[in-house]
Amino acid sequence: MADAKKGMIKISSSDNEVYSVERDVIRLSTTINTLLQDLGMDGDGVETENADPIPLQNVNSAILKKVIGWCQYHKDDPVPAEDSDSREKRTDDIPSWDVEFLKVDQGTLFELILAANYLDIKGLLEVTCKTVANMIRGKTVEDIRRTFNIKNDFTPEEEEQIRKENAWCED
Amino acid sequence: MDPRSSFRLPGEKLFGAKGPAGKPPHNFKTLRRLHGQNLESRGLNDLTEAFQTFVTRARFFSIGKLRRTWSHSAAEFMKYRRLLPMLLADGQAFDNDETNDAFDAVLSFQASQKDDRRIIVTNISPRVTASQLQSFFSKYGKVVHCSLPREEPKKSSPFATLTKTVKNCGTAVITFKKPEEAEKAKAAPDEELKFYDQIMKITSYASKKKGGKGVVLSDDKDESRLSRASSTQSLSSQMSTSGYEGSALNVDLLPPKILERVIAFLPITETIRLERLNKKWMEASVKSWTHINSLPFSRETDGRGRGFTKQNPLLTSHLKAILRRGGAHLKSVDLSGVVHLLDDRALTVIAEMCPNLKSLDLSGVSASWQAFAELGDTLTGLEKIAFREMSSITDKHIWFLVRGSAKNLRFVDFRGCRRIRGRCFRLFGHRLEQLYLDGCTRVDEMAIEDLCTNSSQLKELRLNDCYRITDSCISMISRTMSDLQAITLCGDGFKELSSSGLSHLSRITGLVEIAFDYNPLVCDKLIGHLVENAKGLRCVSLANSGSDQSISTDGLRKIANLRELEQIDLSSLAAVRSPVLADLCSKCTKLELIQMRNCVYLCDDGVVHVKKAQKLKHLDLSGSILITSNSIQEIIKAFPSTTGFSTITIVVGGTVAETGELRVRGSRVAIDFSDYSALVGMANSQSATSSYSLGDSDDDVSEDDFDVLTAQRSFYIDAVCGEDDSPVLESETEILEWATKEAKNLGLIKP
Repeated sequence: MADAKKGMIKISSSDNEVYSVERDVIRLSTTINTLLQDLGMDGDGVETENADPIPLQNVNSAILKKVIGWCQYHKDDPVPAEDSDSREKRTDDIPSWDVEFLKVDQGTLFELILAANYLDIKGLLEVTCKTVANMIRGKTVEDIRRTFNIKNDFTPEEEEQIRKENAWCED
Repeated sequence: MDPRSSFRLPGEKLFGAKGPAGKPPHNFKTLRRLHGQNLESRGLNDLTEAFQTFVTRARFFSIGKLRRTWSHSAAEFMKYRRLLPMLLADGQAFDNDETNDAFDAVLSFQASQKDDRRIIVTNISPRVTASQLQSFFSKYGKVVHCSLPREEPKKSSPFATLTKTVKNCGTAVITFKKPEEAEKAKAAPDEELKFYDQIMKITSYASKKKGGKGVVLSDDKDESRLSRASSTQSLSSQMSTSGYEGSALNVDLLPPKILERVIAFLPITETIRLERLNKKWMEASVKSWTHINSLPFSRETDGRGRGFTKQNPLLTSHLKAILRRGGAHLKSVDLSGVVHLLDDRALTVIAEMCPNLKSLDLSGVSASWQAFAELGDTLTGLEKIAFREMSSITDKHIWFLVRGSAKNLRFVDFRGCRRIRGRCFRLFGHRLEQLYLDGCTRVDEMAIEDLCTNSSQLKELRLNDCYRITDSCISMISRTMSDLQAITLCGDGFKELSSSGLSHLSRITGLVEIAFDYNPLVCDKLIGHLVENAKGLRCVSLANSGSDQSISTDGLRKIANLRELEQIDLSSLAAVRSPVLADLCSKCTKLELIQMRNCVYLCDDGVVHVKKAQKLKHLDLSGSILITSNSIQEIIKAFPSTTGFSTITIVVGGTVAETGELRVRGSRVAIDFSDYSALVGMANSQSATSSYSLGDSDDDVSEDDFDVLTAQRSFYIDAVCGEDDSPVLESETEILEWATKEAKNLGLIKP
């Protein structure tokens, strides 16, 4: 039992629910990872059992649960190479598990993005952004405005000017 | 009707059709129809063997998928004979019991009302082939037709057999025999549709003519959404109707940084279009370019028929507009594979807008040497240059292109630049690590000398088809390039090379990859030398190399001494017999890929040893005609499905193994019934020695239309229906000539 508990990290959500997660799982969050390293809680034999939970003020328990679920599934993923900025503009490579995982309402999806951003979980941020990109993809400007409730703050002249400049991009 | 008497008559008529009597194309059509009826009435075995080969060959050659290899013609013949009954077994569209039903189905296939019976399948794993998909969906009913377009493969050397994995584009159209079956497939739960760890999505087919909104397989601009992208597109649209609409949350909640990331995933044109949305989005859209430092333009058209197509090519003004936004951040630009009208000015634009470029792929862009000079002088930081298939480009262009950056270059790809001799190679510095010169037939001794003097740190040198290479070049390479890890000398036109000259390569002990496909100089001695000295070899490709005399079974068995071996290709070698495969599998524990296409002497007792290769990922036995279901089934049993291990693909098209006999449940083996062995043969049709006229005309046709198996199946459909598709040969004289030649070869008429 003691062995199983080794390397468990406690984190608490904004509504003060405490979750215990394996060190290996939460490794995916760069924010927490750096935090633990800075606090010297990373090495072997460090007693994390009775330490205070790490407070995550920006994440509520419902979202945190989902994030932990995602990390649990992806904990064995290879660490992405550092030159991750060389990524290409493709959005069709979302693994099927993630597609299922992200079948949530828009609100939850956006909160997941915010949480992934805050916790700096690269993989989660990437798939969520891709999912949103897929929602935008192939839509006309008017469609996007309607779907995402976006107000047009250009004057008609301004918009016409931009449209003319970029006419070759329009359908 | 007695099939024998009825179909032999027209056959003989054709063979004897030397004079004006009889019109060959008509004869041929009749022939095919009769042959189809014969198949239908299971009269297959009544056919004279000569007649069978004749008809099969006719179809094969007409689609240019096979090149005649007379050296193995006996083996080939045996293969075709086995293939014909396999058509009936595979796919189950033409079960013997229900041949008439299938016949009707095919007839009605020509008629209207197709749409009810069709489904669109998206989110297909790129590894799936059409025949796999067909047998997968046959659990819902009879699949009459299955179309799974393949992605245009990246242009590679015709001899690079190991890298030749063509992906499908993720969307297929499947036609069932009955509408109910299509409904059944549409209603199938997700778990049932899992294939290679990807859950396929099924939507109903809506024809474009009817104004439906479905996915349509066409190149047209407006409605078509066929692509890999469409898989997720359909997903996202489903999602938006189900979940998102209700809670229209304001997207403005997202911090600008995240919005930029999202936009960075969109295609170029959409990114620019978003600038019109509102001020916040305009800013995000413009800033999103900072996230992008690589622009592979060919990906842009990949989407929904929009982007840069034949109707709407990439113009210099477009390039300018794009690079004005993102050029400063770009490290890599890839213009290969895009439809464009770029000229000198485009190069000027690139030179001006992209100062930080490290990698540039200009394949397909022709310009004057002055423009290249300007570009080359500006982009001094380049590390990678690709300039493929540019037959008009000469040394002068390249000289000016690389003048500024030559000393920094690490990767250079000039494949298919037939006119360059290599004078520019003396500019390259010691940083050069990879040099691809496949198909640069004029590269000469002096060029190699320059390379050996200046760029001795080369790690990878691909010289396929560089036929001016001499023995002394090889000797020089082996003396100076001690870091070389990969060398390829595929091709059958090396006139100035000898086997003993190649043996010098064994001096390079660090070799990891060698490829001598189609190189007739390969012999036991050479293999022995290499295996002895380069113990670290991981990838060995000898497909179609040597000759039946120069390579022996014992020689090949020595390869098993390479403990690090991961990939091996011994396709079309007569010396591949059971002990070779047995040795390889038991000694080389790291083996991942085994390719033994067309190994006609390989039998079951060798194949069963494959179960020892625990790291195996891909086994290709297509066209190895002696292999039966027994050994394959044994391999399947040896790899039970366990989590954490990847799927193993076994390709068995063209063997005697049949769909019905293989049980893959509970195993991580996936069976592929395609026959790629014809592709091995086809590669050679591009070589200079190809003498057969029919093959040449088909060179330009890429492999996109269908693989060999579907070709055979469609042949059967044509035959049964008597459908008048494209004429097999263009002119009457041509078919006459061909038929006479064929008949002579088969000994039916006296030469």
